[in-house]
Amino acid sequence: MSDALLTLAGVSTFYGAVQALKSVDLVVREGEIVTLIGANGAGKSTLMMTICGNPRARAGRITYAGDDITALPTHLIMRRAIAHAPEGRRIFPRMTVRENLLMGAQSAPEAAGAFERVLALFPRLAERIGQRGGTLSGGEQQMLAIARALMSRPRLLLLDEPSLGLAPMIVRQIFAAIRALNRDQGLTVLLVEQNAFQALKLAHRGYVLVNGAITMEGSGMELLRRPEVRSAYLEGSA
Amino acid sequence: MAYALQQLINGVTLGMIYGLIAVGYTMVYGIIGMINFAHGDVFMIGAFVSLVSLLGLAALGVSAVPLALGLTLLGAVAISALYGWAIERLAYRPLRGSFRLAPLISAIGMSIALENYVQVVQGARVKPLAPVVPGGLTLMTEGSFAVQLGWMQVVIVVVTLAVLALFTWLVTKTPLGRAMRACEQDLKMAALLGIDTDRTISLTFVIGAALAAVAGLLFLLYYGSIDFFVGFIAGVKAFTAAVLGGVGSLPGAVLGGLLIGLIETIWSAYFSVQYKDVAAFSILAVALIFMPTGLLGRADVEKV
Ligand SMILES: Nc1ncnc2c1ncn2[C@@H]1O[C@H](COP(=O)(O)OP(=O)(O)OP(=O)(O)O)[C@@H](O)[C@H]1O
Ligand SMILES: [Mg+2]
Repeated sequence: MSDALLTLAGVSTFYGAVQALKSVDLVVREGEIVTLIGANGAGKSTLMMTICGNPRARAGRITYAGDDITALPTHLIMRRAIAHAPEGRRIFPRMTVRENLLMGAQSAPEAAGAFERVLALFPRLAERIGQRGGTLSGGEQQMLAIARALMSRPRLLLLDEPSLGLAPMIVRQIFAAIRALNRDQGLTVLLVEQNAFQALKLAHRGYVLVNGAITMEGSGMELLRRPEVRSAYLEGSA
Repeated sequence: MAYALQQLINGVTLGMIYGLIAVGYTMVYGIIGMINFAHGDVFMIGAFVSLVSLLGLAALGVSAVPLALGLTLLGAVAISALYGWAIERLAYRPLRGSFRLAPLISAIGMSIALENYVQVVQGARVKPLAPVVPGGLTLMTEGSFAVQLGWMQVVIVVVTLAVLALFTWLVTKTPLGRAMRACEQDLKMAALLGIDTDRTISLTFVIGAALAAVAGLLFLLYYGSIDFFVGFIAGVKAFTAAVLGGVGSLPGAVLGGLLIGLIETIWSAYFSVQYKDVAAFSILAVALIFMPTGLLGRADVEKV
C-alpha cells in the first residue's frame, strides 16, 4: 500500500455557530480514487472546500504530501498541484473557453501541453474554444469546469459532482477519463458523487458522510454490498 | 468656423483628461465591481505632488524641462501608487465580503479625508504654476481670431490614447489581466486556481492610482492651477464619463470622457458657462434611460 497523499485528522468546520464537519478522519493515498458519498447537506462540499482552506478548519489537521497545509492561504494550497472542480461549476462567464482553460494553468508553470491533452479529452470544448463561458450549455460548462481543473496537471484532483447535469453518455466518458488518468498517470482523485453506484464502482475506496461525520469506510465493492448503503444511497440504481 | 474649431480642440483635450481619469475608475470597477470614489482625490494628490516636485526642482536649479518632467512623473506616480495601495488596505479590504454599500461609504469617507488632509497641509487657496510646456501651432486665422493647438493638448491626447491601448492590451491579453478579470467574476474560484487575489486587487489599485497621477500631472500642466477640490470635480466628471461609456469598458471610459468634455465645452461656448454641468449630467441621464449599460457597456447575456 502506497503512502498517504492527503490526510484529514479530526477536522471540524463551522459556518458561524453551525458545525458542518465533525472531527472528520480521512485518508487519500497516492494513486487512489476515493469517493465520498452522503445525502444532501451532509457536508461533502464543505469537506472538499475545507481541504482548500475556504472555509478554514477550526479544529484538526490537514496534511498533504507530508506538509501541514491546515493554515495555508487557499492560493498557496492550490499551487501544490491540487486542483478542485467545485460544486456549481463556477466557470468564468465573461471569459472565453480558451481563457477559462488558461486560468486553470495560470499558477502551474509545468502545465505545458495540457491544452491539447484536455481538448482531446473534451473535443466539444475545442469546437467552442472562442465562445464565452456564460453562453455554454450546462453540460458544456460542466465539461469546461473539469477540463480547467485538469489544466494544471494536478497530482490530487478534487471533483465535486462532476456528472451533474450531464447526459449519461458524457458521464460514462468522464468516468472513463478519470479512470484512465488515474491508471496511466497516477492521478489521485477525491470524488463526490450523487450517483453513488457509479462512483463506488469507479473508486478504490469510499467514505460515507452523515450529518458532517464519517460513519463508514471501505473499498468501493465493500460499500456497494453494505445494506445500509444500498438502502440509503443506491435506491433505484442498477 | 474658427471659433468652433477651437472649441472642438479644447473639448477634445478636456475630454481626454476626463477619459484618462475614467480609465482608472473603470479598471477598479472591472476588477472588484466597486466604484472607488477616492480615485478623484488620488488624482488631486498626484497633481499636488507634481506641483511640489516641479517647484522644488526649479528651486534646486534643474532647468531642463524634460528632466524635470520625467522626475516629477516618477515621483507623482510612485507616491500616488502608495496612496492607492494604502487606501485599499485601510478602507476597502477590511470590508470585503460585507454588504455592497459598505465599501462605497468607506470610499466617500476616504475621499473627504484626503481632501481635508490636503486642504490642511497645502492650504485652501488656488496654487498657480507658470507654464512648463508653452507654445503650439497656429492652425488657421480668421480675422483677428487664431486657432491654437497647444503642445500640451497634443501631449494629453497622445498620452490618453497610449494609456488606453496599453491597458486594453494588459487587461485582455496578459495573465495579470486575466487574473484581474477572474477576480471580478468569481473571487473564490480565482483563489481556487492559485491566484493570489489580495495581491491582484492591491495591484489593480496601485495601477489605477498611477494612472490618476499621470492625469494629475497633465491637468496641472494644462491648466496651470490646482486646489484641494479639483479631485472632486474632475472625479465626478470622470465617473460620469465611465458610466456613460459603460462602466467596466476601457474604450468606453475614454469615449465617455470625450463626450462629456465636448458637451461641456460646446455648451459653455454657445450657451452658458454656468449650466455646463447641468448639460453634461442631463445627457448622462437621458443616455442611461435608453442605454442602461452605457455606450460600450456589456450586455449581460449569460445563463444562470
Ligand atoms: N456558506 C454557508 N453558510 C452557512 N451554512 C452553510 C454554508 N455552506 C453550507 N452550509 C451548510 O452546511 C451543511 C453542509 O453543506 P454542504 O454544501 O457541504 O453539503 P453537501 O453534502 O455538499 O450537499 P449536496 O449534496 O446538496 O451538495 C448544510 O447544512 C449547509 O446548509
Ligand atoms: Mg455539495
